Amino acid sequence: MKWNGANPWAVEIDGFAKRYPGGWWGAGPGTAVEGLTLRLAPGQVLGILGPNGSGKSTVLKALAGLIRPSTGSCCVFGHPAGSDAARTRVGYLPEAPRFSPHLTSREVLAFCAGLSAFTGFHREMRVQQLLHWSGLEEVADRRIGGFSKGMVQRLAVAQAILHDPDLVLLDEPADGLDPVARLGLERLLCDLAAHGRTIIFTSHLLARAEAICDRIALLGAGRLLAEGTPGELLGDDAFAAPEVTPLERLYLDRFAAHA
Amino acid sequence: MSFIAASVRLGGTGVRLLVLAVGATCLRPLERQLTTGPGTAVPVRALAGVAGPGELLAVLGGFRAAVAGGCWLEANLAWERRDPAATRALIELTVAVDGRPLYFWLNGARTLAYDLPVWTTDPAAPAAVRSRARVAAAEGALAFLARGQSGHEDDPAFWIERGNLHLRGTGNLEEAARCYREAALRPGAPYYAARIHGELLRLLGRREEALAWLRGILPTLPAGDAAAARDLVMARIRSLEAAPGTANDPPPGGRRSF
Amino acid sequence: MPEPAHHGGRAAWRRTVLVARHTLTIAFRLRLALLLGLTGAGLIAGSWELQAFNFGQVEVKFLGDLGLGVIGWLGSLLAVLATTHLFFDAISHGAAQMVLARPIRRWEYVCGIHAGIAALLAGFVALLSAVLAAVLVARGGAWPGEHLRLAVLLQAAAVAWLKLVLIAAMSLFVCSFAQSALFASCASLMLVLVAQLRRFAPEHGVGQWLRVWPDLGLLDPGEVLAGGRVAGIRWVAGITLYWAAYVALFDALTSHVFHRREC
Repeated sequence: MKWNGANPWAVEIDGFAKRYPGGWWGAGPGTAVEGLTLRLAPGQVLGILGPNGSGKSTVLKALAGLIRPSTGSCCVFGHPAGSDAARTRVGYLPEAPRFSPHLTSREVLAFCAGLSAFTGFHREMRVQQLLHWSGLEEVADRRIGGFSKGMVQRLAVAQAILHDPDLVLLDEPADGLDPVARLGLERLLCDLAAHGRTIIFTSHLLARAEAICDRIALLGAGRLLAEGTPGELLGDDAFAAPEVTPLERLYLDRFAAHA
Repeated sequence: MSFIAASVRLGGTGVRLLVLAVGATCLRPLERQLTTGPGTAVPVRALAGVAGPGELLAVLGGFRAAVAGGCWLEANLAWERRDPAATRALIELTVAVDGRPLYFWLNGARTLAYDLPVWTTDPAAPAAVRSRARVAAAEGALAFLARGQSGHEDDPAFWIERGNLHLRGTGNLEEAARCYREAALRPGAPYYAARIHGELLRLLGRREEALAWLRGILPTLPAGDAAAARDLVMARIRSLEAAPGTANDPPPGGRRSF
Repeated sequence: MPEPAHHGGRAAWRRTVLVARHTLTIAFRLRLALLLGLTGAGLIAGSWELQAFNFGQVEVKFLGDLGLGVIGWLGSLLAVLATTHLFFDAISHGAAQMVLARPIRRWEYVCGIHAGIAALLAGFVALLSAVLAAVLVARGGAWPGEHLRLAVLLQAAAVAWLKLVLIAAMSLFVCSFAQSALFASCASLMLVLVAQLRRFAPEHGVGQWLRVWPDLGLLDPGEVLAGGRVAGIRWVAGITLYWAAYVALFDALTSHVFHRREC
């Protein structure tokens, strides 16, 4: 495990609630998350599952420091979420990300690398590594406006892990990915976890979560409905899902034959 | 205090506005100094009631010369129609949009002083009525010029035009003489301004003063420049010296030779 | 991996410059910037045809006035629309979140965006001023120094740029609490009108609120041109101080509002 600090928890969410007071017009007051308490040890993979509007993205945004808790607290490696110390160790992928169509993927990654204090040769090296990893090397100097949704998603994941963060927050990372890319993403998550990174991702697709996750949290209407290891939550049914379904296997085989 | 109370009542937005207001108040003295900047601002209140979208465009920081040119064209069309109200309004609008060029002020004043009374007065009216109308129009044109002069204090053309209006419009020779003197004392004034001042002094019966004035300007007149009319000035000096008792008389033949 | 250097003034400066450069890269590739730049250049070149409207003004000053009018009007549009577009494009599609989740302070982000747009506006003003200078030279075969000094035109162009940068700061302030690009664009354009006519705002009553906005009429490049001579150091220092104070005030308020804003 990479994390060797004194704090035993990579993520500590304590009584977190997020309420919106409502504005002069538009949406009225509402509660996104209420009374959420969660702890995650370093190196673990947590899948937050739930339907649309259950508060999954709100939790990730709070951990990334983009929103403040109405009550409760969120800490990352012992530091309050949003503090500089926390943010240097967090990589964040927002839901349905989009980049300026006028930029190239190399420019986006170079910019993110610069913000993460990479300079000169190290910056170029890291950008090249990430382009290679994301399979965007050949289109690195093409405008993002011509990219498919999957290519954009891969680029977004690449920027999230660019600075080799200890905690990776991925909001619907499989959204828009074809089976090949989805498989690649799953392998990346496993690889990151194997290297001691802590990962939290959200999804409303349940099929593969139990195979990837060390822990699973079920959210509904902003409240924690269940939380635990797949074994604790599913009992004997845990790990039943294969890495790829038969239909996916067929797709992958045909795709490989044509590639 | 009501300002602060209103800001606080508005909450966060109000407090931000309050901060802006405090900043703006701190900058107010500097702003007052800068208001007398390198140019002159458009007097927006002068546009009230007559301005259209084009004029608004000009007020909002651009195309003033072109918009003023358009207004001047319109004023000339109204002049061709002999429409006194429209001509006056469009001349006012022209100088309101762009008061920088002398051309608008001088030609506008001439139109107001010499054309409008002709259009508005019955030719069959008694001479006294027509004279009153002419004087009133000239006084209006003088007031118009005085507004324009505030941005062109050092330009002799304004003083010359005012002198002309007094001479031909109101008939106030004393004021005309003063205006020509003011023009003559300013850099870049044409030679004739000083000559006319001297001639007006003579017409007003101030022979000694006229003689002193003409003697004073003579050394400044170049011999080879026809516009300086040095010979004419010398001749006038000689005539004033030779016939001091006839200083009040009009020049021979009743023509004034400036 | 290099040793992260997230703290200190140099790191903050580096991040601000990075955001500015990134913003400028996007802004220069916007079709809007291209459209307004080409339209402006075309209008200035075409001002030749408008000489029929020239009365009483020295022709080169007339052309200069027209050119600066084009720079002012199209530049204001560019300052407002580019600012609102770039701000909301980043906010509403997660690009800003990917940046703000990194160790960058909100004020660095705000100042970086503003600096990037200021650089775009500098390019815009420089391009159109060059076209204007070319038109003036083409008119007489040489620079018309008798009626319009090059230094005066340069000073007028600089004042135009100051004005546009201040407009961008005002737009950014509106963006910081607006919820949509459409609202921010409309509100910013209205504020530009208010600020242009600010000196006529009433001293008392509800209308005095209008006096919180800067007087854009003070930053009128046409007035610099009308003066006909290079403005004195006192005026230049005063106007620069006035501009810098308002830009700093707007950027500070924007940063404060944006700091509290949840993305």
